[in-house]
Amino acid sequence: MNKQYILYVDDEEPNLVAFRAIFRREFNVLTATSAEEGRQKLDDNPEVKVVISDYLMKGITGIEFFESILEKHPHLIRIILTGFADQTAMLDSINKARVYRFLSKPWNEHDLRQTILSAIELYDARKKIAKHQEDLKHSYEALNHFIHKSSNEMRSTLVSMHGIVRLAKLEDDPQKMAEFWPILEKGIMQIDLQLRNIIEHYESDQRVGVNSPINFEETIERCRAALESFQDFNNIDINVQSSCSENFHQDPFRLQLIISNLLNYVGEQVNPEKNRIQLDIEIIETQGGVQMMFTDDGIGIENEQLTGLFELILSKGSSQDISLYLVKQAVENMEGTIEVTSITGEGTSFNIFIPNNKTNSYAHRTG
Amino acid sequence: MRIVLVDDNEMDMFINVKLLESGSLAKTISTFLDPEEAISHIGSGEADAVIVDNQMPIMSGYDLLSTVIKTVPTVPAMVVLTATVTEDLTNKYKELHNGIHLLEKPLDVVALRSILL
Repeated sequence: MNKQYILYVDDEEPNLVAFRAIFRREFNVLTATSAEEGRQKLDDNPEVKVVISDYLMKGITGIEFFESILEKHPHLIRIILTGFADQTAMLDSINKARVYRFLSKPWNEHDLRQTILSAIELYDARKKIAKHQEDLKHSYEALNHFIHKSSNEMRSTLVSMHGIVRLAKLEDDPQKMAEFWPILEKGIMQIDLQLRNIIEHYESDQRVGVNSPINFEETIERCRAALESFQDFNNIDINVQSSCSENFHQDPFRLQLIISNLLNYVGEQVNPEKNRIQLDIEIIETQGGVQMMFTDDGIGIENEQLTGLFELILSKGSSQDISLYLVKQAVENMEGTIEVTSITGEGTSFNIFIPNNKTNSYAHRTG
Repeated sequence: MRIVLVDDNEMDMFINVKLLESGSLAKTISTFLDPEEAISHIGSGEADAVIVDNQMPIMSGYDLLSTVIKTVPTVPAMVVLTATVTEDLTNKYKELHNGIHLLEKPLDVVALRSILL
């Protein structure tokens, strides 16, 4: 295990030497003979978790030193060593400088070690909670964003459809009125697709792994056919190469979700100059799973858009950025990984690893 | 009245043109999918009213009207179309120019008439 960093500040050099001699095997011990040097060491070593200071130093107390670092290093756990016991001064300073523990001098090795260890534990626990809170805040924001974005998109489609209805009401000629039905139907399909996305996202998130052998050719074809029933999808040429055996087991629902959302995304990447797009899908069985490569010759993705590609971003009001968010979520739910590379004007390549969920006992039985 | 319509969405453009025609409010209707072209058309003084979509990918309705206000000597009547009118959006446009009106989609020709006439 890595040695943890602690800093000890004392203006009497022999104390530092003794401290270092005892604790250097267990911890990465940094020392300083003044508050000034202590602050410098903290700035240079962000790994420090615990800072120990002598109470009475030349020109400054340990409490004053702690107060001076409170703003810059709020997460440090602070311990004071003191040779005398002025209790009221101590109590007062606990709040002011947020001191974790007071230990009396000369210190006892066992007590000091225990105090340092529990201080490190406290530091780690606090960091963990802070991280959880941050994650929670992030997913709350992402969810809000998702709702806002989906609602906006569906409303704008509905509003267009409302316009069509308004027009149809003005039209007396049944022949001309019939022209409006396909436009309305397209709008209905668009909203339906978005609602399906939301439902699928929820289901994908809630599922506990279902495992069955996957036939990739079949799955891809099923996804393609399903998309075709929703939208214009005949300008995409899909070429599948799979070396995957029956040995690969995964959740078919999540795999379909990944594939159909990727196909949907690729369908939006058609280069207008070619008016067609070629998608090569290569599936290779590897150690512990499969590698899926989706390579297209579409318009590609600008560099600055690559970083936030899998986030929910409210931008141009198109539905495809939800697709990639869903892909990422599903891949992560399966404990896989996804990477993307792209060259503007030449195409995009998604590289996905999905672990094999086939249980070992089952694998033994079938050889 | 010479009306300019700016919308990046062809379906909405189609709807708005038809609705405008039904209202017999416009003498001419000029449509622009590209905001830049719309701006130079408005700049040549051939528009009495401009109706723009708020949310467009390259140049928003807001950016388009800002440019018009800055560059065109006689500013035409300005109407912004949006799926949802919110208070924030109303205030944003009011700060830009007091004469801008916001209308929810689909275009309500009766409401438009009372704004423009």
